Amino acid sequence: MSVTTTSSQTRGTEPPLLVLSSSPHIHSPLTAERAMYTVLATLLPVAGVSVYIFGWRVLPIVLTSVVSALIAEGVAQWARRRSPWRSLKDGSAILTGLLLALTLPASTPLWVAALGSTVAILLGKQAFGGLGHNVFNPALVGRVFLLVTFPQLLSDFSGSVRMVDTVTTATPLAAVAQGQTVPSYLELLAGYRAGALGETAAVALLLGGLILIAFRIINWRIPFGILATVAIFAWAAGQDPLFHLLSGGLILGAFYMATDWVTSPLTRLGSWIYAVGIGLITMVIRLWGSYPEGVSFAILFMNMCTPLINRYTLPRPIRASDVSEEVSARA
Amino acid sequence: MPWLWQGRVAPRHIPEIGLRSRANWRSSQVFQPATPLLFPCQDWQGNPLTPQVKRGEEVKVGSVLAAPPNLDSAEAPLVSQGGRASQASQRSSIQAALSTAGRPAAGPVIAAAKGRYGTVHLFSPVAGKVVDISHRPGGSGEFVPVIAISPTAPAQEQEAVEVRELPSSEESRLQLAAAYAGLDLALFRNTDWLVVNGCDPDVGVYGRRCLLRERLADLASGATALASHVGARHAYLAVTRGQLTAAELESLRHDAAPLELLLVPAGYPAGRPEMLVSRLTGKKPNRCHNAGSRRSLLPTTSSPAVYCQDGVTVVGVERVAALGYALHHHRPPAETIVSVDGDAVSRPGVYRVPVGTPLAALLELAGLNLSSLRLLIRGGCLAGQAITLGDAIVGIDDIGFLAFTSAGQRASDAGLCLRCGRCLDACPAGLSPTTIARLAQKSLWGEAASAGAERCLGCGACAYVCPAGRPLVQLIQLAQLQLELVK
Repeated sequence: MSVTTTSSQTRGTEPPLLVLSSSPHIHSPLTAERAMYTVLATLLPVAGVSVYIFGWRVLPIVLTSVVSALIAEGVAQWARRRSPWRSLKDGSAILTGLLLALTLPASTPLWVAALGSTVAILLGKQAFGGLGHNVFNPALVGRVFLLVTFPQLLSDFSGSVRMVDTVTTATPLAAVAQGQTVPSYLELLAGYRAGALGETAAVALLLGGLILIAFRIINWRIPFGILATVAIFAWAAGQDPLFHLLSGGLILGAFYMATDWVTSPLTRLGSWIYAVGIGLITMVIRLWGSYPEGVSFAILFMNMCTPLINRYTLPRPIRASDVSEEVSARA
Repeated sequence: MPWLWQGRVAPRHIPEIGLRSRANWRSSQVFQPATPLLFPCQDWQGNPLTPQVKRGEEVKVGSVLAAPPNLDSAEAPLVSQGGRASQASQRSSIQAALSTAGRPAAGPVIAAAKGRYGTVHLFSPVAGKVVDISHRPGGSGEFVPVIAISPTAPAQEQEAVEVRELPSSEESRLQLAAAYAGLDLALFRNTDWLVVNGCDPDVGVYGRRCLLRERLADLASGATALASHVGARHAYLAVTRGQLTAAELESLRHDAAPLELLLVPAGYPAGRPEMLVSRLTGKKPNRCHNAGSRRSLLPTTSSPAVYCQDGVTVVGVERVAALGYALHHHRPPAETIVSVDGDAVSRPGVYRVPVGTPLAALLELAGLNLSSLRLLIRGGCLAGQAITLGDAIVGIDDIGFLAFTSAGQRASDAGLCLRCGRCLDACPAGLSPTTIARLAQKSLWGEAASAGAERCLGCGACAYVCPAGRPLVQLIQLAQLQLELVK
């Protein structure tokens, strides 16, 4: 799109080669790459809290997941005859690996983490044609794959909390389902409870999410819509709204998974529909489903509806029938 | 609260990305280039004019340099808002104004000037000798005759004015002044709202805000005459909020009395004429369809000097100041105010230069580092036109130039669409740029039209915000071009 040309009239020793490109000549500093690395940066405190709560075994899980995501991405790009380096350096594979690791319990064997992130990249992203073409959030594809393939491994939270004596091996939502004692709000907020690596640190997640909203990297309507829907639904169903907001992977899902650019709707109205849909499905699964946690499935389900939502909410300034007549009349 | 679900009721503006903060720039003394002044034989819309002078001829201030070409009757004049009647009356009144000229040679030229609608003559703002007439690329990229005049003295001190009896009536005086300023009064025929655009329309240009401070007298007299001629119900002076101090605004309000101030929010694209029209009419902004305007051969997405739509006529403040100057001094406007910025110049600032100054001379004055120059832009960062140094000439409509040491964005950096929806948020026309660009990439022109490709202003906000760096506005422009070819 740009042409280099010699300036003809300058009488210098060496006429400069000027670029003739079409406008705009400047670009917003927020590129996809920068956005990815900002999201990664806001996830670092979450990983730090996770290490604090669950101990050093968190690190090998995260590293294995990230490295296998990068390997899978590179191999898939090479097999598709695309430049592997370019897609490796955009940070999306690292982000997928990290997000997947944060949804796993601390007792996950390393090979399971590796398998999960390979599936996430290969089936969740590259099978559709790489970043930008995927229908589902890749990290959630990996997580749900592991959840249905190794249900015992993925729901084994034994020995996960080292800080608290009153260790429960069930997640708070499972504890409610089984009628056990549930952690207090403060414990939920600080993360002293059973759960996956990343979903327990509510404060760190909220902080990161707010930073992303402030930088306009994620659309505030999506997390706000999800959380509001869940709270209202829980209140209407006679349950404790705050407990439902703070437990499970809801905050991680609402701020980091559902807001994925590629798999969420384009328009503002679409974002609201999408967010309310996720909130409703989450609560339906939590209250009546066989799994205690439903955020992953809810997000994947609404990812599936995103093309449909786009279809009905994208601006259509001119009716297609008018134009086809007009164009055929011209031709 | 429609902003919750509709989006883009108030488009999210791109902030003023000041290259460096230059809010208080003031122009320096009038610069006199050592080289001859250059006058491309084109009217403000890029229509070609025929030179009326010969090489070696002495010209005076106000001499006719070029006139509209003599079209045969087969080529019908383009008619629009003004209509044929106004065109005829316009022509006859200019002829009446010019026929009083004491220059016999001008007679037959004027009689033959059955120009197409919207064309006007080119008058010499300086006295001097025609040293050269050569074909060079004009502003639109087409080759046009360019008249080079070596001035005998700076324009302000020149006494050699073309003797021309002043028309008696107020009306024909205005006609003559408008012809001097290169303005076509017929374009203002159906004007309900007149807007004098004092907003710097793009990022990185500062000429207009400086003009508002420094040429207030010219501006006021031009605006008063124009407003009374047009008979508009409302006449506004659009000023960007925050660009002038409260005291300066107050003096504007006082001195440019017939104009109401229209405060426009800061940030691109709020100062573009399309956005001003949309602000007044309440309709969604639409692409300009001026009658008789020609599509530039070079890629450009900036707006024309006079823009009419839905009964609103937007005219740039520099043209109105030129009109005021011509009314007051009875001679064509000789100087203009332009800004020069960018990292390739060591003395960025606002400069007063004679109309017709070669850009190379202006950039030399601004301290251009020639060896490091990579990108030269006429206009601003977002809708300006990349040009080459040698052929560019500073004209009345120029507001600013930018010189950079690095070439902006490269198309090869573009990735796949990430469907983030930022372009939808940024689009002032409420379109879905990503959809149109995808259709254009597949050459589905009809579908692109149904997605609103023809309503795109070309402001470039979508391509600016796209995180994947996709050439969105460029693809939409391609679709527009294809759709015009089908027509």
